[in-house]
Amino acid sequence: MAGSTRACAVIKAGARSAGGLWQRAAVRLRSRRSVRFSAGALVVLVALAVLGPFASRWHFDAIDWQHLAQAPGAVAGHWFGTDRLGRDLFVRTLTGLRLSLLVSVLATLTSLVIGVTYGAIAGFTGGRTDELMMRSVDVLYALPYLFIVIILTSLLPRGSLTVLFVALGAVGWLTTARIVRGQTLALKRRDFIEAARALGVAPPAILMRHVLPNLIGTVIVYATLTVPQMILFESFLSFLGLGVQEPRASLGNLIAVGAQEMSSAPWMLIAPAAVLVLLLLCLNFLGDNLSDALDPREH
Amino acid sequence: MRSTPVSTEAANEVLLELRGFGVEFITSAGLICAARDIDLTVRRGQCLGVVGESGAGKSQVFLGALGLLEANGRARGQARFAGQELLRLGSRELDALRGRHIGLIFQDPMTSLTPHLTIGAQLTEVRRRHLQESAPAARAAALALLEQVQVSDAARRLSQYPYELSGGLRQRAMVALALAAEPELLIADEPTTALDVTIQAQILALLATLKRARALALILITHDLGAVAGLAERICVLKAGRLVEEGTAEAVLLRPREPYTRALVAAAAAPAARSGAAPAAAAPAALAVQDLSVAFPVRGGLLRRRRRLQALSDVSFELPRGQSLALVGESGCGKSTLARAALQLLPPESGRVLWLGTSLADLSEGELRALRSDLQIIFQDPLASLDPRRTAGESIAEGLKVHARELDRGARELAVLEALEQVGLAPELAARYPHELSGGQCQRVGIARAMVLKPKLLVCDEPLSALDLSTQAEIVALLERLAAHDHLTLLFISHNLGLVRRLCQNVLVLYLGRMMEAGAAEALFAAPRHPYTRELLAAIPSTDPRLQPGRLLGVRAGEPASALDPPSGCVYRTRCPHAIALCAAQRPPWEPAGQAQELACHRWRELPPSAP
Repeated sequence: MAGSTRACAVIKAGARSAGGLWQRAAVRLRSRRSVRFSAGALVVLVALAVLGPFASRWHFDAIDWQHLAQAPGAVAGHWFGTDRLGRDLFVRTLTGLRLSLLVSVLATLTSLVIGVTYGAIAGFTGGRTDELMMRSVDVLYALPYLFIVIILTSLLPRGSLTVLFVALGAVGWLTTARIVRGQTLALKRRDFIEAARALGVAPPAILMRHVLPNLIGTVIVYATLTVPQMILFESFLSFLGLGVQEPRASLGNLIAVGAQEMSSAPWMLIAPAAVLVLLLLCLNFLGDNLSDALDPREH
Repeated sequence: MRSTPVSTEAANEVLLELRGFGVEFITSAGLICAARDIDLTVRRGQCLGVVGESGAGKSQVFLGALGLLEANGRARGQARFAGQELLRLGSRELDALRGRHIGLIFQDPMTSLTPHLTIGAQLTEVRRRHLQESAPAARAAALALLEQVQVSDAARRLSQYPYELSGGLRQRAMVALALAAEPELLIADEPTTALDVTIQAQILALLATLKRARALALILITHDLGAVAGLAERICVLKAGRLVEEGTAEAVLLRPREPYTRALVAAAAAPAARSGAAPAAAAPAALAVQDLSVAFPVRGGLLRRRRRLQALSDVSFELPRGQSLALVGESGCGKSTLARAALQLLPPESGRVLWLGTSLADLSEGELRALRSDLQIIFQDPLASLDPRRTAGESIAEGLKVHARELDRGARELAVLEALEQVGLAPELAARYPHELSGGQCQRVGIARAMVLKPKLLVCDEPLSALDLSTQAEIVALLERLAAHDHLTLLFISHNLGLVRRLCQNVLVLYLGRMMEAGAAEALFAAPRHPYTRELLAAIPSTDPRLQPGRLLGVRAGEPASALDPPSGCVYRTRCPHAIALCAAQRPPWEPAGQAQELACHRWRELPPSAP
């Protein structure tokens, strides 16, 4: 009886300090003003991307024939001004932000799922399998990605978002797989993995219970750094005309159009570019700090 | 700057004097006092041993006196070197003093030598900087220095890089570097901790010789009482930043006054041989290893050629149920490989491992995994052997999840609590993560993780070498209790022969993956027949300051040969003082010697009986 009450106490104590590393990381993150600022800004940006377009009475492809290429503040209702076709830039920037975020987060998730699975299996299995899996990654790496993207765009309907996902994911998971494999190789040599083998834990269970949880820190940090990369890559593809097509907006094609009008209508460049810069700064900042906060040696 | 006033007339003049000395660190948690109220004196030609456990502030005191503290550290009090107040000197004056008048040796020679410079370049740099010597003169002096620290083949070593040297040679090079500018005072901070016991003895013997030859003042900072017993005239004991005892070596080591010192001395003293019945030879073997060989492929050299590293060749032994066998030898001799191969954690190249008559290699993976609850292991590094993301309780429960599926969550928790109690840990610790536990606590968790499965065979791979002295004593007591209580069969790997004598009934001595000598511990320690066993036993430092200096005089030079390119015939012959032509030509047979010993040596019959 006494034993079981003690057991309960222990279970409760365990629940209290569960995820000790993560709790500490959160405390450390919260204690930094710059982190609080960028996290706050990120929340505001996401909220704007989701809800912002509803605040304006304009639709992203609605044309205001009376007000073509108006600067911000010139006309009531067009807070960021309008473009050459008289479309509201506030709504276009925010729907562009929404699309960029969606594409980049989905592409990051895809590349993480594929990359972590692939890398962890290759690293943990080792030997021939590892050689074979990683050499095929090398081969894919060696193909110029623009070449792949151009082929994909010619195969799939133009402007389809699927092309973007596939293109971004195809590029992203290669790096993830390499990083994860390297980490797995390092983990595999650690004593606690050998201890698990000595306990008689089956290899798949070791992978799930001991390898993957210890990869999470690396993976999360890598993900926060991948999202901005994906946004930039999407912008680049759209800029080249391979990604999101008119009339739909993404930060990339807004900037592409804005760049052409830079001298006559600078606000068309400034609005989407400012949002992109702010978003990238926030994400990079969070990623860097998260990597510090999750490093046990920093405690 | 060579103007520091150092007179040389008085033989035992005071060289370094600390008065009311303390070291503090300013941290986010406030002011931390690493040492306080330290008074000590070092005279020319004398050795002061500074003893204490890790965290006692031993190193910080001297780093503080030399102005080498971290940026947030601060030294206070008085520190006079040759009449000069060190704490008032600027960084330039200190630079001129360090190296020139005070030499430093650190624990790990690999990290204290600059990796991209040759040994010669590093030695000549010191000569040229501090003594303003010309390049050829500095080079000649560097060669002389290496010869003085007994580096073999000194001329070739000058053009080698630190990574090309073995650990022992590296530490010798480090000593040469510290002495390069002919300092009056040498501070050695744990100079032997990272080394094998035989190399330890060699380095200590070297320091003793140098001290005599150069009338050098020596400060030996260590946790190893055996190290100071052979060298130090005076010893001071530090605990939690305070000087708890100070006196002559004999007074401190033989008649310690403070309870803390007494505990340290008791923990270090060579323990009595294990009491208990002598092994009954007829008992059936629980674990039998037959002609086991393990080889690793190694890539090396410019062409990255594949080479074979024969880690273990033709090792056989039988271990009866409930008995203990110690695997003994220097690092790289294959003891850990043998333990892992015996547990099938490494694939053997040839040979068999039988557990209760069943060959482990014949089992399917599933059958082997099921059997693993009987065969458990405790690792050397207690922190590294625990998953950093699992609490102590989860780690202990893991084996139960595999081997006792019938247990529900509550029953598992209870078993974990029992295991914690068995190893002397409070139940609250189950919820802690490994990094929140001390080294000793982590090792207890590791033991609990093994013991919760009620194993029949327990392999201990150097379970103490990462722990402090007093913690070691606790863990030994725990292992002794568990082994006696549960009738465990114990395979114990250690380079600490004192410990082996206390814990094990049988000993197997390995060198370069081959068996050298085996037998009952009592017989083997009383009358070692193989020259290698004798060398190992001679290297164990005694904590008796009346005996240890004499023992250091008898230390022989020599390092393990490369396992990639083992010597022909008897692998030990390159170090053996008794080697003859036959030893190079023929591998010695494994033969019985006396009642309870077996060995592989051509010449054991002709050797004089040893005096242990």
